[in-house]
Amino acid sequence: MFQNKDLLCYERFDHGIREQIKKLITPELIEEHRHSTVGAQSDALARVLNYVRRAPLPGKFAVYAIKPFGPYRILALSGLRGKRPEFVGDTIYATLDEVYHAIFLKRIENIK
Amino acid sequence: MTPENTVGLKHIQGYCDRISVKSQDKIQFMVSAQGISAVDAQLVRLIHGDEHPQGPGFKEELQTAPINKRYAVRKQFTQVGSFARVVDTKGVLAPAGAFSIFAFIWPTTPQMHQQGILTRWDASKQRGYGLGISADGFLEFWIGDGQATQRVKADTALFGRCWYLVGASFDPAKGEVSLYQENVINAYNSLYSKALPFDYASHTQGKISIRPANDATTTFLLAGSNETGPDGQNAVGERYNGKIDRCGVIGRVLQRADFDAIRASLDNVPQQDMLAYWDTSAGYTAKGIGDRIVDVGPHQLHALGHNKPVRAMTGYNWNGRDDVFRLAPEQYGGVHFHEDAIIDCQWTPTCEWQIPADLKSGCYALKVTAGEAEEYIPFFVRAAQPKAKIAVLMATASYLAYANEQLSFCSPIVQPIFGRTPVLTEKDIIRVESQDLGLSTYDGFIDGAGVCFSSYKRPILNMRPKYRMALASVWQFPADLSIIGWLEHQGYDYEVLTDEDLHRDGAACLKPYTTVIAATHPEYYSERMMDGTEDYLANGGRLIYMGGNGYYWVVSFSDEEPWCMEVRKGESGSRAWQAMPGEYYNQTEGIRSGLWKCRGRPPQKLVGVGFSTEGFDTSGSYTKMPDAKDPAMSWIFDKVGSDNFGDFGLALGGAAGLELDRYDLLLGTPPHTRLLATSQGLSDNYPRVGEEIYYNFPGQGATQDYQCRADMVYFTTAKNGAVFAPGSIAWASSLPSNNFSNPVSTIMGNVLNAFLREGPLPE
Repeated sequence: MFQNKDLLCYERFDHGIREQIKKLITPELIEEHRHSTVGAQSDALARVLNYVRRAPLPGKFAVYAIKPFGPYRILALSGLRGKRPEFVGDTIYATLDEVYHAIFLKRIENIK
Repeated sequence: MTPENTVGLKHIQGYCDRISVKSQDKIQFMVSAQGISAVDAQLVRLIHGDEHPQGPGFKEELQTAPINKRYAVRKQFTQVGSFARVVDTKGVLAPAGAFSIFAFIWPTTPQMHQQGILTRWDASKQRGYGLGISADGFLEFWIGDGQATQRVKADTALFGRCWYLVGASFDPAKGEVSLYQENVINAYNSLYSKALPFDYASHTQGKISIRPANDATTTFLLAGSNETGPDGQNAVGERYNGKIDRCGVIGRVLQRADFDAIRASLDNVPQQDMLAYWDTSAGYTAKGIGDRIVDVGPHQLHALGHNKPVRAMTGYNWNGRDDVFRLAPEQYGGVHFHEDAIIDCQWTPTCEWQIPADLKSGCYALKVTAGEAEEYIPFFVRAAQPKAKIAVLMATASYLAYANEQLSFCSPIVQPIFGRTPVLTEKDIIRVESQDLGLSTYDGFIDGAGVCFSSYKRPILNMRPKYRMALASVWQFPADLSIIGWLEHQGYDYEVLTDEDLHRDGAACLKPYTTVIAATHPEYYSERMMDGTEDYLANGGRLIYMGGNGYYWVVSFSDEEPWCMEVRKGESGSRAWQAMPGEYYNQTEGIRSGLWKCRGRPPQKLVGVGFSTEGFDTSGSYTKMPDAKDPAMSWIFDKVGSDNFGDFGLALGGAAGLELDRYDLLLGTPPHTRLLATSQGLSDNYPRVGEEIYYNFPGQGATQDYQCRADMVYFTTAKNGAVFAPGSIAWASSLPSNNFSNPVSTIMGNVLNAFLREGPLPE
């Protein structure tokens, strides 16, 4: 019946923070993530990850374990109850670190 | 479709009717299968449940049992959704002449799909009548004679989460229907203020030329409509989301003034020609309320709730002052129905087995297979006559809390909480996609309300050996099997108990044991469970609390339905949802839910440590504190020479991880507690728990806040009792590292061996 104007604030804020996040994405930061996909990270990398991890559910990336400890593929969540996620591409990753980093690269590509 | 996800087309699911059994008890197994017509059943004893390549892997022991057979199976139907049914075999609610129907309602998804509020309606045959909500969100009354269905629809849409009195009168002689829709909003009971200039009312009149075809077998429903299920069985569809308060059926035409009078006072509900009047506030006691909705009318056509319609909820007349049904039951007539609630799948049993007298106490499962499809249906066998000195208390209440959680799929904040991207399997996708296995207390219903009930009368696909939670570790039951695996490997004689046993029997079930080992994450505790544990310790019992974030939420069970747990997540705590104002008390037992800390029983009082932080990126390790160097405590660290230990493990690489507990004198840690070791190496993905933050400010992660940590503690209790607690969920997952030969295993052996010896322990 009525528009949720909170979304306008979200879009305005998101535009601003994306611009800030873009400036943090450097070859060094990408390399840091490749070596350290989880755990203690630089403040800049943590800031980038906090941003992408807070994204809305539709289209959000997740890992699909073909077998319990790999190999893995990338999923995009539907964000809709009961609707299965979809595979993103057909690349198969051997390790969790590899798929985490591949997701990171896709996420920062989406920011740009 | 890719080859990988065709796996989902064939699968087996099952559950059993009891979670804890002993010699001579009978247990039934219910199995449903998709794309499979026969399964092979094999009884197994579970030894180790974590398949992590750095551990010993999955271990089971096949058991000889008469239940080991091939069984025919099929896809079994599950009735999803909560509703209340009135069996009306005499057709009282199928009047041949004029009648009126009314209900106070608080709809939560008025624009989702067709919903029945009060119906005697078979949607498949289009026979009967109903008062409900149209797919586009308008009050509607309809009649069907099996040939045609005629509807009269209101001209003002319903607002969600606002209270209304709605009704309809049907005069068959004139073929007239009058709808009644007026708000009953006060300052507290609805989403919006009464000050808004909205038009809530509708008084539409319309024509219906047919008479309802009322079949004797059609039941009267609150919050749904009858329909024919996939196998021809009676099912309930058109399910309603929201609350229904006092409601009834009157055997004559009510005029607008009559409805206005009901709206003004329930004293004006017509007694003359009353066919039924469900007083949803009737039946409360100080101990809560059950599933029966009382008809105070002349025919006593009580409605019985299915899949736990939520009671102890505020009603249309809630005044915002009386915050529990015990003070003002008349204000707690709200019954919240959810189209996606599941408590009991009610499947047909596939097989039954009687526990033999000589079966060793332990963790068991019926392993059901067909080709590559596999399902484990776990249950626990306790000792009929305890003989071992050690009992492992399996945290079945907490298993229920997390049962079939959908956090990674439905909660946008899970990835920041995890500090990693979730890792999902085909089984995760199947259970989320199927939507007929029910939800956990970490999920919301489709209308956004938190899930306050969870039951084991349904397949719980994440309470399985081998299962890995999306945070890339085992969790709850499969994690607890690492304790079992360690006891087995070290050769200890042990027996198992469950939370169900502790709730039912209290300290009596713990008393035979010299030492009780509590599991990795015993987060959900009833009052009887708390009392039983405290009484055990007060009488010389020795407790190893092998985990983190334990003794946290106040939960309730009824003696009649031990399979169903209730929790209301209150105004504090790390919580996936929060109960609405005035709805903080469990309808089961009638006690205030929320955190035990908020009820005067912080976990620190019981076990020395309590929840301080959680993180799921990596786990840290421990470093010894000065008490560890005291010669009086040297027995705990015998053969653990290094000051730093625990930088290994199957749970994210360390012994201090996932959810962590801290020593805090102000929260009741006993003052003579030995602080033996503390955690180190945690990232800022371990923030301070919300219940400890009064004012928020930057810098409350583990790299900047010293109180985000795990503490290993030990203290003595009365009569030579004692508690040892490492303060970390990940601790037990470090036991299996290096084939159970590591400092964590050594410390546990030192503590357990000392606890098993009679006589006083060092202080």
